[in-house]
Amino acid sequence: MEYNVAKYPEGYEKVKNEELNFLPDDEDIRESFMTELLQWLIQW
Amino acid sequence: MNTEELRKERIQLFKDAIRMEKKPKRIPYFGNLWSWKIIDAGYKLSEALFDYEIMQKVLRHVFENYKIDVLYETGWRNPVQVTSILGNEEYIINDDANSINIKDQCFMEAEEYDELIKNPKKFLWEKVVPRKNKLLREENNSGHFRKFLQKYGEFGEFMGKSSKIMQEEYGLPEFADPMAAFDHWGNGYELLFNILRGIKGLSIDIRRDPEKVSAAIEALDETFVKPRFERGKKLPKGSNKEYCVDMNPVMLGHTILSPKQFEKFYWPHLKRISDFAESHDKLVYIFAEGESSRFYEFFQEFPKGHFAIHTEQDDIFELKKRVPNIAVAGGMKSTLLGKGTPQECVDYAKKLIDELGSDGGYIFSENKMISYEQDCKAENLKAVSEFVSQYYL
Amino acid sequence: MVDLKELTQAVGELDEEKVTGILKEFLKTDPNEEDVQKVVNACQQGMGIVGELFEKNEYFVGDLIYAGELLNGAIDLLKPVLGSANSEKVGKIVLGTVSGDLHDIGKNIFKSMAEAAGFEVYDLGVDQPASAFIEKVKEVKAEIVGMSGVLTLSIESMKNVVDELKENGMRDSVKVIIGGNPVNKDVCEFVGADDFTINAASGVKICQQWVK
Repeated sequence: MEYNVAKYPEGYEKVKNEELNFLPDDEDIRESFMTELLQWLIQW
Repeated sequence: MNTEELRKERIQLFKDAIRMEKKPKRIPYFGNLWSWKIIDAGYKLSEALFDYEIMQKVLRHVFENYKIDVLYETGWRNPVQVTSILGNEEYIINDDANSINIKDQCFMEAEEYDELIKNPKKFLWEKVVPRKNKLLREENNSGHFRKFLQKYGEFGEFMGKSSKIMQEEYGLPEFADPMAAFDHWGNGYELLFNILRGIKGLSIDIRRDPEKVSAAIEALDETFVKPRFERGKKLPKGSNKEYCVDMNPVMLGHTILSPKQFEKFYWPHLKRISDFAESHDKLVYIFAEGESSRFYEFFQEFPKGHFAIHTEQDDIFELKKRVPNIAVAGGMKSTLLGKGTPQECVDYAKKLIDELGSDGGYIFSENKMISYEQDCKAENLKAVSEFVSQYYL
Repeated sequence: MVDLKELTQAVGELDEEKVTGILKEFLKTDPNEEDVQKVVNACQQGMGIVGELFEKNEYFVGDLIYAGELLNGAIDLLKPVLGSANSEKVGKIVLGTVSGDLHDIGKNIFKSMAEAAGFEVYDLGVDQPASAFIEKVKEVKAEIVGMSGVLTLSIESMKNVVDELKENGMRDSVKVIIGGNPVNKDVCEFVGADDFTINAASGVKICQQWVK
């Protein structure tokens, strides 16, 4: 299903929980990845 | 020496230079080589930036032709393969002129400070990210985002592979730990300066509403910087043996500030780094764009033997004299590398090392980011790097 | 009539609120053209103070940017009454960011400060080839060419402009100033410019000396 990623928290949470299958199922690791990803997206 | 021994030795050279505890074996060479190396290797900018295999050939070209100890930029600076997938149009490549420009950015309005301060993640994710990446303005954009994640992953793989080539085949170390490094220019003030408000917007905001600016910096630091410090505090004390330095902040936005403004808006972040470096015995390498002499009183507070400052435009001899507690880096003038003769360049390199490096405390490098064809002649870089690699004090 | 000295001082001190307050009071008096011109001059003199404080290391780049904004705001306020009041121009400057470079912040600060100092500035914009400078200089008979750039590659482009000026036999009839992050004495010599600056305030001062 297509959805709007650019919604917070809905899109953000959906990316974190459903799109990052290369990461372990650990909330802290995923949240930390998302924070870095967010910064990457605005910085680069 | 095999490549592994060479890598270890190079790491040690950097650590010794910053510690300033003993006379160094020789002065390390920090290769401040950016898009110039693509042209030097015989490629067009877009060829290398859009093809990781070509970029790796460019890296090999550098390692095989120039005797540097670190190559700082290993293909991460212009990640256009990743950014273009979301419709980001900040990078402007001109292959005829061999030039790349990055647009001045301003993705937030002055009226939006409250929104940013209230919930930085929400504001950045919903407003700034789509403003910067046009395809995320579409209603159903998860397909685009999946493609982005894939490209982001490929970029990571490329970086890993490049690092492996560099370390295992050529014995050059990674400069800073990519995981623990305090991200290049990711503190709140720099984000406002470089991305959110831009040089003009921030200059005005600082005058019109300094308290809002402070609150925004705090909110951004809480979001991005604090978690890194938390992770950093869990690391063992002492400098990581696998990397030259532990932290690598880049100062760009200090260039518009008065000393008083610097104290309010910038110093708290540096002070945090400084305290951490001292308490956890970490090594910090700061690249400071522009001219910073009005801030030397602040730099004098850095704990001795933990900091290096790479200056772009300061009088490096003066910096060394007035801020003796830090190591200095840079000094090799790009105007000389670009226009001078090999002999003139080597003479100047010798002067730099003799005057700045006798007690350690000096890292040889180009003052400016070598980016364009005329920033440096290949023969000059060859002569200089050969000289620096062989010149023992 | 407003206190012109007070206005000049408020601009110099970058006191935006005060400047706006004075100007709004002034507008209420339904001023004549001559008074408007006096007020504009007072603002411009304030910019001169800003430039001096910058040279004394009391103001920094951020302050110059803010000053430009403040002055633009003041002129905007005065626009309805400005009419055709045309102060005498002290000289003409053709200004642009050179080929290959898209940065314009420094150029724009210089522009607003040069205009405040009484120059007529023809701003070509960014990424401008040598031919654009040449044509404009011919067209308006400018006394000064100002070239701006942030990237080091702009040095080569600046040199091209000077070379083209020479080829067109125009080099001796104009003064050339280059500005921006990568310029210094060596670069100035290489480019063949008359002078260089890394900040707008002293750049304007140099231009003023040329047209004296």
